[in-house]
Amino acid sequence: MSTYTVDLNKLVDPAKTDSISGRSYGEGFAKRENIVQHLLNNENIVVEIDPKRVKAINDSFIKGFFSSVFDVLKSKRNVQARFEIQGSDYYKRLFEKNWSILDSINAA
Amino acid sequence: MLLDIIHVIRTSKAGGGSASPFSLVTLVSLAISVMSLALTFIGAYRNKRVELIAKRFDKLCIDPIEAGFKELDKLFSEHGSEKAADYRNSIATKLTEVNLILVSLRSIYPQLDVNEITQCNDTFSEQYFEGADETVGDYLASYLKAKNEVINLLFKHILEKELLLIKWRRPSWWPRHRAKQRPS
Repeated sequence: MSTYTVDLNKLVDPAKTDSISGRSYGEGFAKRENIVQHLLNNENIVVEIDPKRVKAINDSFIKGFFSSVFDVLKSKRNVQARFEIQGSDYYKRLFEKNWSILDSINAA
Repeated sequence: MLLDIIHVIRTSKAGGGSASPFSLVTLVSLAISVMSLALTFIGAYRNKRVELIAKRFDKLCIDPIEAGFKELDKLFSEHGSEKAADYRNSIATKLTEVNLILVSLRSIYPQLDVNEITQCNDTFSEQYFEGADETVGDYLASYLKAKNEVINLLFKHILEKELLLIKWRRPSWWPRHRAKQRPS
């Protein structure tokens, strides 16, 4: 199974901003990166976050980014199997928690 | 009360099988007493039920949410207008934790619209992260708005969906609402 890498570091510009925020921004970024298409092509996704560059990520960005992903993969377990977060433990936990939230919302 | 009824029946039988006007009045008054007693019991049962649902709601829903918000209150009072990354991350983490508690409530209240409720926190979170020129007062106002909206939606759910106190539900046999005639 091949891997596609999503680089979140390019979303910040140290001169202007050090954080990533916004649900709609997350949705737009997922679209630009064709995340759903990569998943349908049976690729695993690696999300790269350098904690020295990306100082903060807003939880709604994560929800926006993964909303279309959950439409395809349906559950947290499937998302965990297909996504890998390469970053600090803090970001890994933050992503996991937001996957739990999306999992519960999608189960409705 | 049973003895009274037996007494009335005996009296009516002794009178040739037909009840006298007096005994009829007694029977009617007895029936009314029985009905009022039954209604009192139904009322008491319903009140107890409402009380238990409300207590359960407080314990399982409001207490943990308020505890989560208290931690956010503390963060705000400690850091004020500071917008350092660590602080923003703490806010994001706490809001995520409050949202996690909110979505977990679906296991107890399956009809709860967790998407709508968590949206209140998300709106505040975005405003907090993105609003560069806003004052502490602005953040506090939008935070309080989010907090109140969350608690208000939870109360609305419990009153409308769990206690059925506010929203009237149309019974299945009730005629459907007729479509309004459009003006010609």
